[in-house]
Amino acid sequence: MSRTTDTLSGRLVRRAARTAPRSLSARLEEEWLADLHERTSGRSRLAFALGCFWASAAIGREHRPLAVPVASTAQGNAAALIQPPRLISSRAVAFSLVLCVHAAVFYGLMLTGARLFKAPEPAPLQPRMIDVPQTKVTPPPPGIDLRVPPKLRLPPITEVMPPQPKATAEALVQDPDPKPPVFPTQNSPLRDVIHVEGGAGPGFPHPDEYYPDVAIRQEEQGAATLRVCVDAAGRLTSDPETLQTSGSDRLDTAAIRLAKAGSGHYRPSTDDGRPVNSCYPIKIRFQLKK
Amino acid sequence: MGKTTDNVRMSLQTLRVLEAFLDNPVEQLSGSDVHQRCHIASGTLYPILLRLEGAGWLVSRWESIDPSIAGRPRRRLYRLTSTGLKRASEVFASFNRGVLA
Repeated sequence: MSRTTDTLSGRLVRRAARTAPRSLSARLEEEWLADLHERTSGRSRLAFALGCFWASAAIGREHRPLAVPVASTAQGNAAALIQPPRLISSRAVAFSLVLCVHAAVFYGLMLTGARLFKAPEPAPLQPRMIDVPQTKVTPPPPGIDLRVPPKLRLPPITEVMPPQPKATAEALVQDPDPKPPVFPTQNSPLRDVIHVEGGAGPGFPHPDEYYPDVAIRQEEQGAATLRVCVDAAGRLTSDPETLQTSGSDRLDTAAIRLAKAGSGHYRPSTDDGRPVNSCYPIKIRFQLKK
Repeated sequence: MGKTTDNVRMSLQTLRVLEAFLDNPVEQLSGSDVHQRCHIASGTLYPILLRLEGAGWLVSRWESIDPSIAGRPRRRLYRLTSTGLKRASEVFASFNRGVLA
């Protein structure tokens, strides 16, 4: 075993010395063989021989451009060990290589990442037929004139309450959506009927009288639209209904109270000037005075 | 990395090698002797020896024996030069030998 190790170590040392610069290989071989002989254990010799490879590589890096004869003297070795200047150091080369590898990896990740996380393309639009229910258009029965009736000039139907100077708020009662005149239907004989919707009439209470104090303090304003049904005498025939809230429950309640209190003071709707029972919207606005 | 003095990189291993020679500046040591004193592996030791020799701090010569008679190869012996002794002393003075403690 020991002889085998010696033989192997010697071969390794010779081979390591041959990998050294040619100018130093002979000297190193003899020197290393002599030092190998000094080692006592086989393990130490093997370690020494393997270390010679490392030494040979290190020496080769430092003495690569050597072109001097075999150095057998100190002066010769000293001359052989002079290092010519390098344009680019090995560290700069290694740093550049590492930088290039990082750049390549980063570029690769960018490409693969873009593919992996690419948003799915939306599906192409496909035309789809939709079944539209067809409604049968029945022709009007004969004898009905579908001509558009002539435009009529109507009096304004918006009722504005007279201003009260003592009020802290200005309130308006008006028809929110003045309706056009009602024309005769197909059941009625075709003739022009002038229908004028009613509204707040004389003696109708002013909104300021019903403006809640809490709402005034909190500066609540708004207009509530109510639906009132009035008979020909201007009295309510049913409780008013809120069609559109003012945004405040207090003002809506006050508007209902006001509408009820105004019963008997409504101006009834008229057909050809004749008062009739009807239902119509009325807008009660609570507005603070500036 | 180590400090560079006259193209000699002053690594810790280099300082250990120099210390081995400074123990007896006139003594001639082979690579094996240096290894026994400072326990540096061969892969590191011989490049240092050649570097110091190239810088003129060490000189080397072959052992004056007849290998056939001695029954072993002749050794390469190194010793400090006067320049090496001066420079090594300066290096250790600058380091105050603390790095080797």
